[in-house]
Amino acid sequence: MIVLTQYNIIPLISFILYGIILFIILTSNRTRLSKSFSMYVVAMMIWSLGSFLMKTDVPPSSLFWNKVLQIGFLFVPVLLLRFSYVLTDEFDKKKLVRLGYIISLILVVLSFMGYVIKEAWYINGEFGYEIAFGAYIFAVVGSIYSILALAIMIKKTYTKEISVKKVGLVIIGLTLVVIGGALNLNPTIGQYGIDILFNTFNAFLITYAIYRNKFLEINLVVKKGLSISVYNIVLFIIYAFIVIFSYNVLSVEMGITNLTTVVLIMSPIFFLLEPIRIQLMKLTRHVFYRGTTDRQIVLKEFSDLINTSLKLEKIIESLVNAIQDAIDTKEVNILLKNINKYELRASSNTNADYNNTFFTINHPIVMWFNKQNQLLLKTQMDNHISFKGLWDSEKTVISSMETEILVPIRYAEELIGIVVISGRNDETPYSFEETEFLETIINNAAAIIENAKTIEAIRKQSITDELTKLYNHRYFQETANDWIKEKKYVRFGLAIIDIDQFKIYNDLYGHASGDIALKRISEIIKSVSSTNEMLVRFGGEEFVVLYPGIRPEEVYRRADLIRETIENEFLLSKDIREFLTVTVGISNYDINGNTLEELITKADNAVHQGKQSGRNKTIVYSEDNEFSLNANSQVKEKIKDAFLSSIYALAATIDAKDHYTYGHSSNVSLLSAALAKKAGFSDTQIETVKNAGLLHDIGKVGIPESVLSKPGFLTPEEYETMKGHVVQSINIIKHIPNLIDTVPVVISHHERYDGQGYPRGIKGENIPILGRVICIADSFDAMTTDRPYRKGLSLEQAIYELRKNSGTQFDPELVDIFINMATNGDLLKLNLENRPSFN
Amino acid sequence: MKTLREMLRDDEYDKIWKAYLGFLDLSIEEFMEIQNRLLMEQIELLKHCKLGKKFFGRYRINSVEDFRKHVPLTTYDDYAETLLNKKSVELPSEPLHWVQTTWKGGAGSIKLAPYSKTMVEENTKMFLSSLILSTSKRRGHFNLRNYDKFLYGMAPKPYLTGYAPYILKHEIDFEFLPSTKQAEELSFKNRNVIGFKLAIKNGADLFYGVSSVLVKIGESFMNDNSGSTKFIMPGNFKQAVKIIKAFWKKKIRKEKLLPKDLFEFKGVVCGGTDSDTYKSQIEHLFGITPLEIFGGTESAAVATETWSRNGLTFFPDVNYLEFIPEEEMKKEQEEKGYNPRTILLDEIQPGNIYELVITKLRGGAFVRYRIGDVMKCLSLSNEEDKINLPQVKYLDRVSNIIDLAGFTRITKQIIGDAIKLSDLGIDNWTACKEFGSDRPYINLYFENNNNHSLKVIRNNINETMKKVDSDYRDVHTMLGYDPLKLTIVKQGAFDLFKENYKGAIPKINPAKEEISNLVEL
Repeated sequence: MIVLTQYNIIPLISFILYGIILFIILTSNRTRLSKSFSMYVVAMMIWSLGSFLMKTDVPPSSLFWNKVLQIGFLFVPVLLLRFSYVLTDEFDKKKLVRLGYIISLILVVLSFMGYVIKEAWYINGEFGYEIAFGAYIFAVVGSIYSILALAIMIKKTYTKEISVKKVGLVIIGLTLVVIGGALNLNPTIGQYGIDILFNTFNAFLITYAIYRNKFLEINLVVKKGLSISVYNIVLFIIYAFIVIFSYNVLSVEMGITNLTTVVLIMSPIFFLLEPIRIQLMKLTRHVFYRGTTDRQIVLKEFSDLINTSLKLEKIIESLVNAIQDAIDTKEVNILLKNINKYELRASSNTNADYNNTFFTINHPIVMWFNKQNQLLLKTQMDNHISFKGLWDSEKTVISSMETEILVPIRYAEELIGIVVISGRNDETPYSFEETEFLETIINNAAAIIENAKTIEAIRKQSITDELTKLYNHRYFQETANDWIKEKKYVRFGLAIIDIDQFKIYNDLYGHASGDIALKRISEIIKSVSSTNEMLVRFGGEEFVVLYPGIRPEEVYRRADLIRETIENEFLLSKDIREFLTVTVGISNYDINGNTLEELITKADNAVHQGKQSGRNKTIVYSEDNEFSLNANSQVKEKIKDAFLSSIYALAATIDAKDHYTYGHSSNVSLLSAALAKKAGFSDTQIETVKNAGLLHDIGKVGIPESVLSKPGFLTPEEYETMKGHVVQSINIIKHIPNLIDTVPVVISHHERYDGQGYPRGIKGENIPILGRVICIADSFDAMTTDRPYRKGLSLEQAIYELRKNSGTQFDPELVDIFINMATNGDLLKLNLENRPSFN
Repeated sequence: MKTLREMLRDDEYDKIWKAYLGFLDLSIEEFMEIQNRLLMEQIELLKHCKLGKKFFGRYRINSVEDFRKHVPLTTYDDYAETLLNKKSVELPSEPLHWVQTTWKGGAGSIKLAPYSKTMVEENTKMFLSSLILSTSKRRGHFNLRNYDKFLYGMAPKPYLTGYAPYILKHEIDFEFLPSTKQAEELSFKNRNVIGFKLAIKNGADLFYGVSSVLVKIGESFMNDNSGSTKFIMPGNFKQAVKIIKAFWKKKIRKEKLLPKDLFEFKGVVCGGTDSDTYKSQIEHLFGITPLEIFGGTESAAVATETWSRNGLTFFPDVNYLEFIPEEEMKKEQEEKGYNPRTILLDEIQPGNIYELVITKLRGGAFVRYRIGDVMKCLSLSNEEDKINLPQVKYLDRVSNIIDLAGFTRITKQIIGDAIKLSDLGIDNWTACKEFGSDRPYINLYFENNNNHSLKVIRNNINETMKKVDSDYRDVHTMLGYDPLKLTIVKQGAFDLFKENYKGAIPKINPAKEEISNLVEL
């Protein structure tokens, strides 16, 4: 019968514990580390089982079980060395390990031949053994291997190749093994199995180290079961010890054999043990569910806090703090969704770069969370194909946050944000419970964050311009007045940015395009402004930028940068539509005024000066400028004249390029002006159409002569080239500030009333009215021109053609007026050139 | 991120497959998504550098469409000024290495290509992907391991392939034959010789080299019947058995020894333009089908074969891929200054031929760059390997160059110079690449006006060609065969051709039809 005694209880407990450890390892992922550790554990199981049975009456004999024990015992040092190599990533020393296997094998053979332990006996509960020469060989070899295993660890930690945190516990465990082994050489101490006790401690420490440092991904269910088992086993050991020890003392020493007396004497001990049991339970929890209780408190405090606040900033800051407290992490960052990206809104890092930390809407991480609900680990990102498309800059953002775990914030299926969590302060890995906690706290916060976001959005909406997302006029007034009233800044600059010729742009391309242009300009302003500056859509085509605490020269530099960038993006682009520029006027508090009204008025004055002096300018308000404005405008008039002369010259060159079209531009100009006048247009409009007439074919400078003066019909390709002249014309004209108002007219001179024209193919009333005027004049002049292959049409024939195409090519109302003019002789009074057919 | 070394040590084979070969699971849509996303990154980088601004001109490039519409196709001439002068500041990213290659038919003698840190990392990864695949038999399976013995038969630094052993060191523990340190002190030829000796001694697991060189080594091995080869002491038991077996086969049974009797490669990766031609020979000699990797100095790794070795699959994140269809290539030849249209990977069609255009991703310099390689689309998926991405085959260099063995780029100029220098009175000639049963040749069609003997002509031209072009000389010395074929055509045939077909026959690589027309005259 098996009787438990103080000799065999330790090996039995060790055997059970090793069984549990082996079970854990076998259910975790299989790596080289788990393999090497499980081999060590198996050896220890054989050792402890042999040791246990040896100290019982189980047949065949103690000596037999002792030999079984030695199979495990003799292999332990070499397996420890192997484990040590694997753990320290030094697995190239295979030879030494192989040699160890061979020696161990030889020793096992020796042991079965009786050369290691000569005799072992277990008589009357007393255990003893006698050693032979093999034991000494083993003592030397075993010590060398165990000490080597220990030395490798110590060396690696000493040279800082491996952290003390990682292997500290393993080093302690191995030290115990070495001491335990040494004690065995003394049979008096050896009989108690101190070595196996120390080895059991070692196994405990290694298991804990594996769990703590996540050397292995331990199966969750096993882990939960493990905590209960460990608790129960430790309790059992304590109770068993006390019972056996007390029984021995009572019965052997004191001679009390009466069971009732024994029970009575021992009962209070169990009551006294209760505090120890509670402590033990706490300890187990601390080991396996580190900080669970703390996390529950954190969770509760966070819930209380967020339930009392509606402010988004406060809520997410609390979330950052709560997470940091609960899982002891280095850094927590929260990114929340705005219109087109997930931007950093809260960070535990005081140096966080809020401007450049964001995930775009098509960021691979965002795409991943759109499909998956679970949290994402950095290691997953490293290997998964979904993250192949990450930009280097995005990788930098991810690594700048020291990202380890990303948790989605989801509300009603929508990804409203992402929590980015770095590694832990002590560099140990997170447990599953911790990730569960993260998901819980973030799920709890999601609805409240969404709610606070909505409130924030409403507030923001009330102070934001809907189209450009810049601040609106009202908010600007309030803030700027506050600045002045509270004397918040000693100085600040105010720049009014006014888009030049925006009305023309709107007329030409429609309000939808105008809105797009406004948005783009606001984007440009944002892109070249710093976060300190206040950006405002002042109204219509006007923006305001406030530059707090900045010297006037710097205000000028920054405001001019806006002007310059817009010029580069719009005017200098190849796209004909982009002829927009801005004029910027600047006033400075308190150099130019002490009230907001004064500052606005003066900046406005500066804008006016800029417009007068040819637009696309940045002007700082000064009183001198105001006086010189009139004088200036006279000079400008002269410049304008000079401009126009060069344009006439240019237009004449075009006409001269083609002998047959000589005088065409001038004729179209005269005819259009006459038609406009007759149709009752304003003087400005007449002036515009007159200039446009002169300029309408200016783009032909870029058309090859072979196409331009080709006799006969053009091939489709040539026709396409020819059509390009309209766009070319605009590309030239848009650079001449004073002639910008001719752009809509020139660009429409080949549009047809039925929408079949080019370049835009617009229809009817959508074609600018002056464009429709010039179209008639242009066609009429072309019809009546002599060509190499045909003579120009007579006046009557031309009138016939005009009438025929009324409503299809031409505006019917305007063409009627024109025909009237032709029939009543008005046209003949005009000083047309090169028109022999009807002149 | 864990290195391959660490993952191998932890037996994380699934993770390795995912990390290195996960791209084989992509659908074409997902592939294009990665391509487009990374192109947008590259556009952003290009926008802010001088080189990029040069190609973008005045256009605002904000989308893939803008990019393809407004950015011109480029050749090395467009980069020569910046890259040959190593003007790093003008580039989209800071180069870590300047990789060199020869520039045949160009304005200079060499080409330089900058590699940023990320590009180096990506290229290493792609190369490892191919190495892993070379040891793979099916999806998810491979037996590449740490400490594999690697026989590395590629050109040294500053050529692209020369960097690999140094860069791989950070990723995995290979045992190079000979070690990189020893290799540095040896000439290219000696390196291969010593490498093979070491391979016989210790065994070799992996080989990477030009296909033609591998065949040459194998053949010389097979034909070495002199019996003078010194006995090599085996370095391990396995190799000892092999050497004894080989000795038995050669000396006792008097059979021809094949390299496969001594080597048991886990994987052979080969590059070079004629890989396809040499594949069957390599298999015969070494007992393993090589895995072809396709790439170049400017493009880095572009595509790799998979375990069925039945078509190349493109890597999604190294180059943005565009293809010029054959009809566009023709149009361009006919019409000077024609700007050919490109299509994307999801538009290519099986059976069609395309010229590859690449834009280097991850901060590379080359934008819509014509590397000059022509590929054929085999299919839109690889049924056998269950890969749902287009499969292509490398055909050749664009037709104005004759490439014989992966390292020879023979141009019109070289042949013309050689003929002139050989002073044989040959005025009318044309040359084209033709395939013999197992190797490619240059066939020179010419009018033999001075009636020299073929032998004289062959000798003279070969000698002058060797002088004019060192690569041509290498074909003779390294591969040991004469790649020149001579075909005499009737006197006056060239003039007659010009008259009959309204134009002279091209000096290099004329169409087959044109050749037969010329010969028939």
